[in-house]
Amino acid sequence: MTYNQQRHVQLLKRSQDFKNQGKSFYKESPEESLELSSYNIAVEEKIFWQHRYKVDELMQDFLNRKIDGQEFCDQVFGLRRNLMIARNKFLIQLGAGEVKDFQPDPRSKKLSGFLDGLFCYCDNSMEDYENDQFFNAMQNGFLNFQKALNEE
Amino acid sequence: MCQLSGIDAFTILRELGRLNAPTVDPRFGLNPTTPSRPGSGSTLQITRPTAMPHQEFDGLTKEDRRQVPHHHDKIIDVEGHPRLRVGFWQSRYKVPDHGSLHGLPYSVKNNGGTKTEKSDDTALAMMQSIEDMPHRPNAIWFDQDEAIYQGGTDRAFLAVYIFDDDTKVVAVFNKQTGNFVTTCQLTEKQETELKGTHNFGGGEGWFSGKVNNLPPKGITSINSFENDVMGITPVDDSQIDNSNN
Repeated sequence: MTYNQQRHVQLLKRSQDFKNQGKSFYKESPEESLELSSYNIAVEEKIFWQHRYKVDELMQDFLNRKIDGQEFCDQVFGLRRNLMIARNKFLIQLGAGEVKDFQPDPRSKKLSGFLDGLFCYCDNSMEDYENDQFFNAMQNGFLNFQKALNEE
Repeated sequence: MCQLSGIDAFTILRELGRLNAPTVDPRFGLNPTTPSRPGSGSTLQITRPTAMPHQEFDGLTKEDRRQVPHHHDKIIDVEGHPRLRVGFWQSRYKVPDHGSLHGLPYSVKNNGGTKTEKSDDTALAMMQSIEDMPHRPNAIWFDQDEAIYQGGTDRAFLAVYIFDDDTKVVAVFNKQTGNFVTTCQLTEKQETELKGTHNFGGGEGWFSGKVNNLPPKGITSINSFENDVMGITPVDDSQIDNSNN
């Protein structure tokens, strides 16, 4: 599927229309809703891609014991929330016709799901970060993350 | 203590509890030290139910301890769906990081994360919000046979999800025990996974040691230097770097 900004904007407006009526776009028109999601994911992934070095730095700080697990996961939670806010703002601008020419970045697919996986791992390990299992998982994640980055 | 053919009766009851839908078990009373009214205080220790032997309680993992019954536990019982239990201790444990998603007061930390005060009152408020989730206008249940949380990892378990399609907040329950596990707001990708496969949170193998390097798929773009460099309008200078470096 080729990204189509005009269609993306159209779907954003459709979604907003349903929202204004108190209806769920997904329940009312599941196919269009999933099509919109695929476009929105492209935005989400591009924003994360642009912040990939923050995650890289954060993981290095944890693995080098500069910060503890609590601080690490706190920052992961904060970063994820900031990126979600940035995505929402961007989609509002896109829907309002304020973005002239958006294109997804195919490279961003390489890190698809990384931050979500990291968030869930941290959430699952809350208050129990100081163990080998958590450290080893982060080490594996970091190696995989590095591998993806080095293939840029 | 009751003995049945040499097997501890509590063990049998416990195993039955794991297999069946949850109920607030009347055999679990409360220790006199447990406050009868909700209060505050972030250091409150999980108390042993009076009917649970010390040895059994001492042998529980932290995770299991957070699931011991409490008289404030709430039951979600909606026809056509599994019976679920929103446990007090687990909710109290999760409220600092996730209370904001359920309308509780929070502060924003320097790193952008939110923090809600950890207290009995905030835990109870979050429990009430979760209990009400099935009645929200655009709530969606995911309790199909294949619904799984963190599928593909060693932390995977069969799950029941209650998802609010308006706020994108999900409550996650363990299907086998019916117990509340966590709640969070889904990203677009997670939401799509949940709706499409009824599985999210697995991280696609990033943390398991299996190298994950997905080739580009789905949307492909007409790529150009101008678009790559200039194509995304920054919404907030602190949030989006427009350089595509």
